[in-house]
Amino acid sequence: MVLRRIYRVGEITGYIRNLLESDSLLSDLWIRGEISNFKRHTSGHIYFTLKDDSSSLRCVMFRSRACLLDFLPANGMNVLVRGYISLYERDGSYQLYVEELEPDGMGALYLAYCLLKDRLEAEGLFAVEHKKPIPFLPRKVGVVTSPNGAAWHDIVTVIRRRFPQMPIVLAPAAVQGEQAPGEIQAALAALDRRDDIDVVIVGRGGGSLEELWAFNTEEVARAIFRMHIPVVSAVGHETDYSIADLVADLRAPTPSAAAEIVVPDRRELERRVFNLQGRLMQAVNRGLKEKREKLKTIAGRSLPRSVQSRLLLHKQQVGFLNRRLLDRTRAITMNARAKTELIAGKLDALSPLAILKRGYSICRNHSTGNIIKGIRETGVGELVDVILGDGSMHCLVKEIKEDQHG
Amino acid sequence: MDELAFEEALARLERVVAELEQGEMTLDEALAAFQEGVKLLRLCITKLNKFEEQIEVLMEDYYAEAPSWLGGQDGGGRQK
Repeated sequence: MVLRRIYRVGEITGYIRNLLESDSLLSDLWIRGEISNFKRHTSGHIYFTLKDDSSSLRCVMFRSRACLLDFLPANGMNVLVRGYISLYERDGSYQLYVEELEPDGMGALYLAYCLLKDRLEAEGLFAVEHKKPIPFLPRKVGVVTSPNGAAWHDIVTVIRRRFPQMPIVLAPAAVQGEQAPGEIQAALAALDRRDDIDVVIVGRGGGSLEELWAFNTEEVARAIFRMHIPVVSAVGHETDYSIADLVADLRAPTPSAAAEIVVPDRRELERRVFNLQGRLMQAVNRGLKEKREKLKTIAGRSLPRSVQSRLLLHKQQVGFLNRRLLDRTRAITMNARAKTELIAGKLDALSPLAILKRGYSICRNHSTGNIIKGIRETGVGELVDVILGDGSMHCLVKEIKEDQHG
Repeated sequence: MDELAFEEALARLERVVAELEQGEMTLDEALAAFQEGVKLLRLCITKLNKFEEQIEVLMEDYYAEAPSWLGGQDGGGRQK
């Protein structure tokens, strides 16, 4: 009996995988084919099937590689793929692990694109120093595109939304077909001859490399380069770069984006202007108010501080003087009164009446009224009046005696 | 001042307002700045109001050459 060796699925799958991975041809190769079943996973990995007339090959391109792509792969696109073949053990199927992916299908067209791009680049048509700045607020926007295309519709819609009053000048041109390059060039030149247009959008809604052909011609590239007015290109999708994009002063990913770039939002501008108006008024008013308050403080504080204290001093002095004056006056008055009283007392003392009260008397000649001061001024038998403190006596002189010592 | 572009006027206005807001000007300077600000403001508003909605289509050159787009669909990008 022959001893049968039994393998597990995993063992044999691993064996095949080793076999594939150890093959020098399969570990790094280029394959030409057409993309089908294209799928971009949310993880960023890309899955597709590469096929030709007779067979197909499953392919995966991991995110780390896929994010380096400079074009958007799509079903039906002919491509060149570099990678290695290995086995996906879960499904037991071999597949190509893609490292690089580049367009192949356009063949001559793509090659022409690359050659022209290299030539114009060497000539300096894409150089940064030739890029003109895009105006902030153009007087008029020129547009070169087909009036029948989605691009024209998108541009008008966006401009009307952002700045409804913005004048637009359309220079119609076919954007695909044989006449397209000539018409685009003529339209650009027609706009450039005017002096009221500040920026030009040239472009079309996206398309295949074939449809975008006009924007990859030397004629259009040079026409854009010749422009005195700044040009914004709006050709195609986010990912494809046309030669027109490279020559233009600014590249917008889509016509809508170009319109956004070229025209500012009017309401936003108005908001800024009115906000500035408010701030201007507020600032000047606040400045004036501050100055006024400062003036008030100066007027209320530093000036009076000196003046007020001096005023107070003056007031005090005046009060003091006033008091002194009063005191003095009172003293004088009192003095005067006292003196008067004294004098009055003296007078009183000198008053004959007071003397009479003390027992003295006055003798007067009755007929003449003369006061008799000596015995010789009268004689016996004469009538005299003797005045006393409380009255007078009428007397007759009976005898006169002279004092011995008198 | 009339030759000033809108954004230059706006930028200058911003500067004037900012300086005024600093509040470090003398009264005369502040009033001069305010006057300039008002002028710039008026300029900005005038410039904004000068636009007139219009769409002009340059035709003459194109009729002469009977462009393809007059004949019908030229596939001007994605159709909406």
